[in-house]
Amino acid sequence: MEFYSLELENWGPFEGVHKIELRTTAAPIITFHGENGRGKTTIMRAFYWALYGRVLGKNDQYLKDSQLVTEHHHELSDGVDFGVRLHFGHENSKFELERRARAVESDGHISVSEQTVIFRPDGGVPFPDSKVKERINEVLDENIAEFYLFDGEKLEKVDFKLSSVGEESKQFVKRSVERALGLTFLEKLQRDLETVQERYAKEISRGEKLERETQSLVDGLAALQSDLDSQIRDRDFVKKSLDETEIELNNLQARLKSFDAVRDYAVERTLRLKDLPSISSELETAEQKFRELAENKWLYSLASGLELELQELEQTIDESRTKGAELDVLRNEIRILEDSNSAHKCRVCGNELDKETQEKHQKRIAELSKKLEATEVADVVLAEQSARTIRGLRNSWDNCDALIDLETRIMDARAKLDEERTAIRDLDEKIGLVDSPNILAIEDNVQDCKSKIQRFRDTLVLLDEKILSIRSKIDTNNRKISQSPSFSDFDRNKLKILDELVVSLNSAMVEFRNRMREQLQQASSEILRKLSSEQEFSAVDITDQYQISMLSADGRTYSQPSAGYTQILAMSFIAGLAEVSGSKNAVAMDTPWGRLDRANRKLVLDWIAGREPQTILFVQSGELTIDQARETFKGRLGRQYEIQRISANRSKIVGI
Amino acid sequence: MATETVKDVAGIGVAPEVRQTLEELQKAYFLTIGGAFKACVALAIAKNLSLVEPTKVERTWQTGGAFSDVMDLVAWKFDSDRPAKMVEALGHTGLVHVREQVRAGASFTTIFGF
Repeated sequence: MEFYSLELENWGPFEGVHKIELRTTAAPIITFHGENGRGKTTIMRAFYWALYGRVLGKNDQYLKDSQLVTEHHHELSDGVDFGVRLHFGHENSKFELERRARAVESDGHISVSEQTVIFRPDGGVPFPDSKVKERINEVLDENIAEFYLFDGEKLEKVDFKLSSVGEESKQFVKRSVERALGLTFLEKLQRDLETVQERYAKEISRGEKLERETQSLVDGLAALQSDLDSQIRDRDFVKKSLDETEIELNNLQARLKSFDAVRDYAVERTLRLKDLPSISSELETAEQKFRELAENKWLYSLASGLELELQELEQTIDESRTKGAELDVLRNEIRILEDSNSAHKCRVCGNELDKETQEKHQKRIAELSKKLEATEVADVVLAEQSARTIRGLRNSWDNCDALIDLETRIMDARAKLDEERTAIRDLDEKIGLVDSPNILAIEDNVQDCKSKIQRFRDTLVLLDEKILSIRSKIDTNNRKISQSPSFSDFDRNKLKILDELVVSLNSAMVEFRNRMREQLQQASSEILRKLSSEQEFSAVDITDQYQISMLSADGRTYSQPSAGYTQILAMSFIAGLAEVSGSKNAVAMDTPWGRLDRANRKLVLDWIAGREPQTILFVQSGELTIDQARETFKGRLGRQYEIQRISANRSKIVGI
Repeated sequence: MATETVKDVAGIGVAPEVRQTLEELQKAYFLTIGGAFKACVALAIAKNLSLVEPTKVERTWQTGGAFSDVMDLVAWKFDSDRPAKMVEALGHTGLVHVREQVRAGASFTTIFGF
């Protein structure tokens, strides 16, 4: 990379447009001379800003764009455009890079618009905005730009890092080496590769899982197909059964139709026939009861007579007993009268009886005797015996009315039975030859058939739903199977290769890092020997732990070099990095030699004079005067510029 | 004057000519032919039928047991010294009386009612 020109517009102390030619032919060294505060660093920052759109200030903080515009521009309140245009060549191509923005001051505050950037091959079509950053990094990656465009501050920073021993120093060296050598890209590549590998492995794993799922689907498909076949067979069977049953139903209904005329008779006959056994049974029961009762009540014919006779006997007995008592009174009175007469003395009062009284007694006795004789008394004993006999037979003659009731029931039952039988005979005549139980059996069969048909139809609906569901599942499975990705051996081999590639890359990275460290160590050592006035410092040592130090001729390590030598070590390290990175990029150095003594500074200038790539130096008179530059670089000095102060805040660049 | 004592029959018999009637009667209304026969005795008494002596009988029942009640009845009613013979005659009389009715299928109350 070689810078051809730099054009500044309202940039820092450089108000208006300032175009600086940087192209030289055989003389690659360009010097910018200016005392402190003139704007050397600001010009250095213009390269950075043009390339990357941002500039690191002190303490590694990026500057705001508002800090880059000419601060006291007289039109700043109306808005001022500012920016940098850079022409450069890279690998036999020319490019033009322009980055601009607009600043407006308001109430003492400067606001800056979005940057616009145009990057294009010289005279060609600008690259798309989205590609600008990538294209610029292809020319000079931002990660390593600080090794080519460095200022004194940077050098001091490196200087400080290198002089501090410890983990921070090691990490700094390691980061610097790896950034300069593009190892960060390789690491990124490695990470990317690992990401790809991981992604690919995941994909393969997912694919294999899908394959397993697909296989499971295929297996499931076979089971579903088998289930479907089974359901279809069941359905066919049920359909066949349904058809057969419907035919049977039609036949049965046709037969029933032929019985229509006599069907009611047949039904009635059957119902009557059903009643017959109960009537017969009732009759038989009544008859049996009747026989038992008749057997018991064999005196039925005499029942009323015996009952009447028993009543009469009981009456006779009662009357006889009453009459017997009356006769006993008569007999007692006769006896008393007879006893009184025979004793001539009253048995009752004891008085003597006169003749007349005795005659009266005699007369009374005759009267009573006559009455006694006239009274008939039945034979009570005989009557009682008869009554006992009748009573003894009572069980055989009393309550005979039950026989009459039973016979009435029997007669009714017989009449009912006769009536039923007559009705059945009449129905038989009407029905003719038709077998009525058969009709009912057919009707039962019709009902059975209808039930069966309903069941078959319900089953068919269920089976159809099942079949539909299974077919849907089969379709879904088939669709999934057809959509499932297939992973060939090629894919698996690809993953295997990717695995091996990652392993190889890891190994290569270690190897490459070690080689680069050795190359850096070698390049830095060579530069150190050129820059150092002390022959004692023979080499730069960078350990595999990235600890950097200077070695003596006999290989001893200087643990505490001077500030100047630390700066030389830092320059050697930076220049070594630039060399090892392999590109012949231009180098811009801003005020780099503050701590070097004259001898060492001369060696540095000699080294620069001998360098082939373009070198742009920003120096103050304490480091290198205009004349010293001419003297030192002679024919290698292509251009010289002086940065002159116009006012406190304005400078101008003047070619010498 | 010497009195001639006629011995009572040892059992009660049924004349063959009324046997069928007795069986039909039993079949229609009684558990046993004994029951039917006793009912015929009662009927003869109840209707005060003119006694018809059977000429020839087949001995069928003992006088005791199931026939003791009818024997008691006749003994009491007729004061007979040959109650068994009396029962036999009464039963026979009753059977002869009901023969036509039984044959005609008359009801119990028709046959034995009064």
